[in-house]
Amino acid sequence: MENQKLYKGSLQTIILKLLEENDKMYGYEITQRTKEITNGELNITEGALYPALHKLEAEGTLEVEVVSIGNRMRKYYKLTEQGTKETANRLAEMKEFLKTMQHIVNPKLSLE
Amino acid sequence: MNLSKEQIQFIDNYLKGQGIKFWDVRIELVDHIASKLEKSKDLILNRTYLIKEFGTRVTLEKLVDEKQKIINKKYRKLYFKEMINFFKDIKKIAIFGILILLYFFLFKHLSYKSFKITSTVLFIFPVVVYIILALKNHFLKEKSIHLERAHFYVAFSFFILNIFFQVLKPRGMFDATVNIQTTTFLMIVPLNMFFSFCGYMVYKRTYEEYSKIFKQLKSI
Repeated sequence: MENQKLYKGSLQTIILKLLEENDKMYGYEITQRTKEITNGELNITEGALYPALHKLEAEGTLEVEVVSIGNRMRKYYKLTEQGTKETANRLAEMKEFLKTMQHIVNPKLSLE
Repeated sequence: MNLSKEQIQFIDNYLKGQGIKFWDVRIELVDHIASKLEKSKDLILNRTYLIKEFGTRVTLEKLVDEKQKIINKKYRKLYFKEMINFFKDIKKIAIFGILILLYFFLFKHLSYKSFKITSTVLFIFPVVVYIILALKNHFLKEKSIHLERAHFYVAFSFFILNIFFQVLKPRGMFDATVNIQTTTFLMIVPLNMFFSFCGYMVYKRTYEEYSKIFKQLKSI
């Protein structure tokens, strides 16, 4: 459970990375794909996922496509042009962050 | 197994009953819960399950409040984008220029009293449009969170700019000569028309986009 707090700050980057790999995704699909990749370690709740998606949409990073699937509507999210650039920036930032954390957590390993 | 139309309606009604009045908020939540149920063999759709899944009314209202704040950012951004786009359109600039010249012509040829009445009518006009649209939206059976936010920007500039008339006497705090009053009109009225036009365009586009989605939803 405590692990979830560590992931919280990286939620938007996780979403962007997933959308970079998959042309378009819907909310539930994102939660399931994340669970699958992390072997159930990261469980994104609806309360965290949708505000994050809506924020990215409001910023112009994501765009929405609403389609009818059988007897209901589905909202797909995909990266905008600006979003693709933003994803590259955020992933670079994340790599830097992980490198720094590595220096802090395991200094011996990072010197090698 | 796919959920039936009745089961989808059951989820939608539950959310409606919990205070989510906006159809464009519900569609995403309905799809989320329906996808979850369809993927799992053990889950049974009933009220207890929905309460467990979505939480209480307070949790759902919090979700809507948060969405409203986020959406406002989106429309504020679109509003400013519309202003920038306005200056990229020669036709719009030309029409607006002609209207300003006409307004200036009225200022030159009308008496102060007539000019003041004309200016007041022009200044209030966007608010009339705002009220008509508000009434139209009020009587809609299904409300849209996007339309509600976009609608605000039709009269946004009026809410800000009318302060200039509030501070001038006879009703306001400061004395103003006829010269100052006419200059205020000459500056504020065209500005208000420009901002309101941009706000209206944002509303119009949102209306077109969400009406299309709503029609699709109703045809299911």
